[in-house]
Amino acid sequence: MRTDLDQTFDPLDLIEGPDLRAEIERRAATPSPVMAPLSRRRRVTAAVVAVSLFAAVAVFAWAMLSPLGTTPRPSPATRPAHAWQVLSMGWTPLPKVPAPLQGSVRIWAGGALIVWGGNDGDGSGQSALGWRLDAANGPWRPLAPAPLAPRSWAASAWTGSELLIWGGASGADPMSGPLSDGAAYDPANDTWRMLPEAPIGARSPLASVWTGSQWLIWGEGPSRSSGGAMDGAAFQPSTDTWSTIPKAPLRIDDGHAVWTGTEMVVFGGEFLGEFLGGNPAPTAIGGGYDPTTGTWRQLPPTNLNPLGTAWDGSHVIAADNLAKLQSYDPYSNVWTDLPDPPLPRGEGSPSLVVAGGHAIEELNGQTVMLAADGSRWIDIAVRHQGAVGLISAGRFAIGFAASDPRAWAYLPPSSDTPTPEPSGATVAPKGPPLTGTIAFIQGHQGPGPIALLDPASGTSTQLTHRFYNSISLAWSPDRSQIAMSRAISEGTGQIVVVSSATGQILHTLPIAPTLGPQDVSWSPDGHLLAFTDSRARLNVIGVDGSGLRHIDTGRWRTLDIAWAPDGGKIAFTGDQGILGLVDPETGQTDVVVSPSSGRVWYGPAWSPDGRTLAFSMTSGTGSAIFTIGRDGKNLTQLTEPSINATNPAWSPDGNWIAFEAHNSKDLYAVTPDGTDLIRFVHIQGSEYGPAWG
Amino acid sequence: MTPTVRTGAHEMRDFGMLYEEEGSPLWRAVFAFSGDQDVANDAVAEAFAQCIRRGDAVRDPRAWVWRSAFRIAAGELKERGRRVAPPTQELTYDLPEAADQLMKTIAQLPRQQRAALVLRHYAGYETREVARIIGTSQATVRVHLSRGRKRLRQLLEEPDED
Repeated sequence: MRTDLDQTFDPLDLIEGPDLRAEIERRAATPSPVMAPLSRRRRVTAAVVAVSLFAAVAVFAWAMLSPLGTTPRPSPATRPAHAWQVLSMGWTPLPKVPAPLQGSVRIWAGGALIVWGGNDGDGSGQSALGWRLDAANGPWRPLAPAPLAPRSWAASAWTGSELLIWGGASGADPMSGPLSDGAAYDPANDTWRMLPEAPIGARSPLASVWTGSQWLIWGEGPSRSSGGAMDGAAFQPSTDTWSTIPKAPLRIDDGHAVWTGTEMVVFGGEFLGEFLGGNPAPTAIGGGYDPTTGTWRQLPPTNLNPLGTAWDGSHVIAADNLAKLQSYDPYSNVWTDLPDPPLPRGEGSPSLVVAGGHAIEELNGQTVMLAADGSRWIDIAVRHQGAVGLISAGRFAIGFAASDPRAWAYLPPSSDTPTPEPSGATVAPKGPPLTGTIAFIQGHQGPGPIALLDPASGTSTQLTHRFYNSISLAWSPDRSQIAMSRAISEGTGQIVVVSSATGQILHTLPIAPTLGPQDVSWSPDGHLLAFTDSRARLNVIGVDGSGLRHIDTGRWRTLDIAWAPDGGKIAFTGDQGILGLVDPETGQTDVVVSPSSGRVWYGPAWSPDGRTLAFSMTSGTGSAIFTIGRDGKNLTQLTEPSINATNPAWSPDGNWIAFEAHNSKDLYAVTPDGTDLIRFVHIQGSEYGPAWG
Repeated sequence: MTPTVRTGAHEMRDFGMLYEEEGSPLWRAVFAFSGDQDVANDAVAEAFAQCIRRGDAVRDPRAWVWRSAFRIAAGELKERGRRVAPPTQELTYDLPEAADQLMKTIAQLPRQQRAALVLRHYAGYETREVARIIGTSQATVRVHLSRGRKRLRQLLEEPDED
């Protein structure tokens, strides 16, 4: 059934779009790793799509049937030469990965991040598609179709010119339906080739290393019944041939391998010690394979169960699932304990890489970096929980979130830059102290439960555990309660009041759902709630549910509101740029900012002293946070439109203004003078609608 | 083995028909979302081209080109947003007056609200499909729609539909 808004969009059908078939044909015949925008000179001029169906099909089919591949492929040199050089020290969010991540190949291929295969994490959606990211700011581009069946957990390596992929599982589980074929992808030409048949059977997962001239794949695991395979194979891209690796003198479950320059060193979870009765004493064994001599040696055991390994240039670093780490010197053949990292001790699967000369470990969503002198671990991810599944990109690391498609790059401090001082569980931001608590709407599995963010530590906790389709939050003045407007269905909603301590629903306001409450604001005396409704009217109701009344604001319709700290006026934003103040008793309105063409103001928030309003201005390119005096003077822009910031919320001490960012879907805070800006990054998808109490 | 695009006349006819049916509405939707004809041209052309190149790997070409075009456009807008940030976007396309007015109005909405509204109310997709196209959850789409409708009605000064 069509609605009035459907009809609103009818004028779009009056627009005559261009005929893009020639351009599509050109692009289909010329796979381009980086899509070059159409220049304005070449821009396809508007043309009436009035070709008859028959003619259109004929022309398009003819175009598609013309010889393909005759247009020269773009040289890799046409890619931005320093596309990743823009990274600044610390974490940089990357564009969301447009592919399933569980069990996918994730590899740094010289100047591009490549993701291929994987599954959706629930056993479905097994993929054979790949994507590449040539610049830190995107966009992701699809790879040419691979000549391989969909799979997860495949072994992979970057040779310097090709991405090699072999084996893996046809099911979501690493051991389900192992495969025995592989292919090589050439990113310069966006082409694939099949690898010849390997001399070993199907397996998944397996350890592999690139030696600089050949790819060694070995072992199998985890397989408690067999104890893992002992054989492997070596692939030489220069001759496109495989050879076998002599059987190792040991079996290793779930082996992890690193290349030391002369040996492939593999470790695994072969438990020689007692592992029963709540007193785990795992003893891992490892082996070293020298491909030059074709010989194996057994490494000394260690009382660690290495599940993550990395080579730092002189030592193998191994991490277990209990936040213990050791280093192994292959020349002295000695294990040495490393300092304990400030990581949670719970069971988990560690991710360990060396990037920028630093060992970086992630375990259970926390990430730490080993100081250059190896003396201590530095917490680097308090504000970036969720950077899990690390890979090394040489001078920086790339982390992938576990349960959503987000990814980040982490550039460690250079060797001549002092490493940040450890500060317990936090990395101290610039600017004034962060106090109070930010309530926000979580958007991980839909908006959303309410979560509470401690801005000082960057940690958050979930307050409510049901999905509420929340729209707006407001703290009670005594901070004991949070009012929340939520949608029930399209056009209907309600306001509930929850305990800020327990998340328990205290009561639901008795308003008709068809009012469709939108923005909510608490009166400073704590007795009333103001809210706008789906018809953009302003309403006030007692927190106890009594006295619902509509406030006539004349010709101004109200979108977002904020009750002034002195209780006298309610600030509102409304029709096409109006920022006004309304007396909730009389409905008398005062205009602070008159409507201005092309500018729309949203989400007013009062400074605690009641002298200044923060809000966002939206234009065609994004939204920015501004402040303005109550008298309409001293308009100040605090953020760039590129952040796409909305919904400001002033901290109770007046030192910070939190806001949501549409581009990153994270919460930020900026000082009222705009000099300091911090970002709170979380694993749980989107965060928005901050309310600072 | 180097994969090639499908070259059979039957498949080409399929893509021709797909473009015939989806090309114009998709372009208008991406144009309405992005407010930029270059972005719309790029995104739609690239989405169809990639769909052709992927051949049988794409199970549902119609859904694929819509999803890909919107994501490519979103990526392009994000990239442009980092380079330039003019306060108000001027449309450079000659449009019928009613369309021009609508484009200028929806350009004032946040990007995700724009995408949700265009896909829901112009393209006619259900919430679930909108969520798949813009890569988010249904619930998130509902909130974008709720917020977007509220603001769009304000901008259009129209009575509420609910």
